[in-house]
Amino acid sequence: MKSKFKQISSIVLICIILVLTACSSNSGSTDEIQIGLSTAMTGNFPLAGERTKQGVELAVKEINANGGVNGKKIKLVIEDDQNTQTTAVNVVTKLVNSGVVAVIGPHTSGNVAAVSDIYKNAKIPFITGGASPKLTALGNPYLFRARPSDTISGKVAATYAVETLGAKKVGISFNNNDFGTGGRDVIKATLEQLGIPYVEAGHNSGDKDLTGQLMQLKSAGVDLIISWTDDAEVALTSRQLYELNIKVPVIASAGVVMDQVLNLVEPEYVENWYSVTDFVSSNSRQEVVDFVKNFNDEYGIDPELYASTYYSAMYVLADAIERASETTPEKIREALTKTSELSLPEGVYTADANGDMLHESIIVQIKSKKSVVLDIVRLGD
Amino acid sequence: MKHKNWNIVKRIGITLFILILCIFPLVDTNSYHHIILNQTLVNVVVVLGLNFITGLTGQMNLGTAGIMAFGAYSSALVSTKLGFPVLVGLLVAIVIGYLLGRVLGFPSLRLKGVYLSLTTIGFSEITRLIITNWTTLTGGTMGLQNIPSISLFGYVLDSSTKVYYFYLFIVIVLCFTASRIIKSKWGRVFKAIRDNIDAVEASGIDVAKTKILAFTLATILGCLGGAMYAHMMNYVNPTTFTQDLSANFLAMMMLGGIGTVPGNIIGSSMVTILPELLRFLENYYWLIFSIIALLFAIFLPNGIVSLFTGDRRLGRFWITKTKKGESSHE
Repeated sequence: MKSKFKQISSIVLICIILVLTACSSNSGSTDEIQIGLSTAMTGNFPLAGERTKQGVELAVKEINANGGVNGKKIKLVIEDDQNTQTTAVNVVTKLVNSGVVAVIGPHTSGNVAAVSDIYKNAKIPFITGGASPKLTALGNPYLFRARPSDTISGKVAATYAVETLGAKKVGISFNNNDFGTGGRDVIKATLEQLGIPYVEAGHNSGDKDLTGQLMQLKSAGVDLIISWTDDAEVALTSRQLYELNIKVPVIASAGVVMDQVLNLVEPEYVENWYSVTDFVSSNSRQEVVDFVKNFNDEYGIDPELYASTYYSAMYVLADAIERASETTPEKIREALTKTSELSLPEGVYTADANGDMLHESIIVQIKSKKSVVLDIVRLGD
Repeated sequence: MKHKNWNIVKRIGITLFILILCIFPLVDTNSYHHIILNQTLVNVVVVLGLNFITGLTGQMNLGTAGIMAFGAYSSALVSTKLGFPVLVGLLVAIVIGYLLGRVLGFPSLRLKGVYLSLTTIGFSEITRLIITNWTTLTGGTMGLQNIPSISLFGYVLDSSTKVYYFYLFIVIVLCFTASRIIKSKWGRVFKAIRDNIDAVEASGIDVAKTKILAFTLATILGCLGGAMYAHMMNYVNPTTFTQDLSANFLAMMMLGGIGTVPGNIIGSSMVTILPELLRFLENYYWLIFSIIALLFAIFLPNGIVSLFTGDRRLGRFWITKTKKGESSHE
């Protein structure tokens, strides 16, 4: 008898779920502009997704408080893509079918490649922070990038090493993944152009000991090391360089200035390290100072790379919608391609033919775990 | 008499169900819904395979992601790099699945329980790492792009609706085949191995051969599912084939009902479709989905399908309080 009761209650539960989901449709009114956001709220990347969401929501709040765009309020449709390919495809298909005029995200380059065709077929523009140089090869006219491509940061790192720091022989320590090898190729090409010899030593994600690779660089007599790798590995590199007493200047990829890496290391490991990045909250540009203050007022924490990237992306989009003759995806895309000299916390945005909008990197130096901005390098095309 | 009536009802039910599935895309033209349905169909194929080895034979296989990756990449590479038609790619995936089953089946002869699980996890991770690092062949973390859609004798399945009908056809055929296999001698031996391997051996049945057979069925369907996934997405990327994916397939099998085809279909549909239905809950959707899945796992240990079959063991926790054996049946 009891089991009968359970059976009925289970069926009732299923019915409740179905009824609940049936009432879940929502539609936007005509005095609103719907913008989609695909980001990872769950999965292996939730912190980045959380900051992304906060950044975009702050931008939308500010824009709507100032009267919206062309008198219309912006309405954000947020979907969780779990940072997986399948879910990203689902979410993006859902968004492009739900009447949005433009979408922000997904973030990672692999997922961008997965959804690129969906945007292209639906003719809806999207802005992403995926930095892989290979995204350019997709040739998607609806793809716009709110972060500098890794081609730019690699070039900036190599140029700074030689021209400012006066390196005569450079050691490249890189991760064997897409990000690391992509950076390495750009650095090598730049060094060859400048006529500077180099030594390279690769490692894998998840390696626990890099002494072999670092000693190889030391015995080759390099006078500067460029480290192009992920968060855990850059922390390891810094510790082992310190332990092996290799005292040469180091330029590292963007990860090292983020709190999640700095929390893994002692201050002396990374003291005086240089890094090529796109955003640090200690930057003294007025846009950054204002953004950091507003973000702090709203959420009580300092913004980082993701918050700043997508906060800026939302403003880029709002700017394009304002300039577009009508609020249709196609007109917004045209307006996005004409984005020019738009100054935002992440940098100054100017669209080029590939949809890349940011062409600058910041060079910072770490002093007692704080990033000090040394230089902002803009690459003329 | 009752038995006969029940059979007729069942047949009418299945026909109606298939009919509804056929009409659905004509009524609802939202491509988002079609994509979700296509994914469900692909998942059903993979879970049907997993059901043979883990559900029926009881050999814990946590390497489904690796198997799927093999299928996805082999078919994708054959059709992109070698330029063969996609149907050849699907066939190659099936052949690879067959070979994989033969190879992967061997460890299962000597290993049991956790050790077999570890071996299959190892296989899956090695596969993923090779795909990630063999950049020249597989495109590394940027994946394989522009994988062609399936074309049937010149008719290209380029929209999600067309893909849906083709996959629905494949799934219906496979479901009937699988349910025939489960009811056949093979199926009975599979179950016997799970329940009492010594008794099976004592009956003079070749346990080794049977285990490899179950593994091969799982890898063939896994690879076919992977290939279907690749040609549906037109893009594959190694980050898809992680341990999470293997666990997901296991969840589909467990929630739906181990060992039965309807259970596999219900489980795959629930795990694929329910999170999407719950998206209106925004930040809480994944939490609610997990709670629902947990409730089903606790109260329906034999899967959702047990609501409709005689094998109900609802109220797992109540059994111990009352007399055992009495309340476990109705």
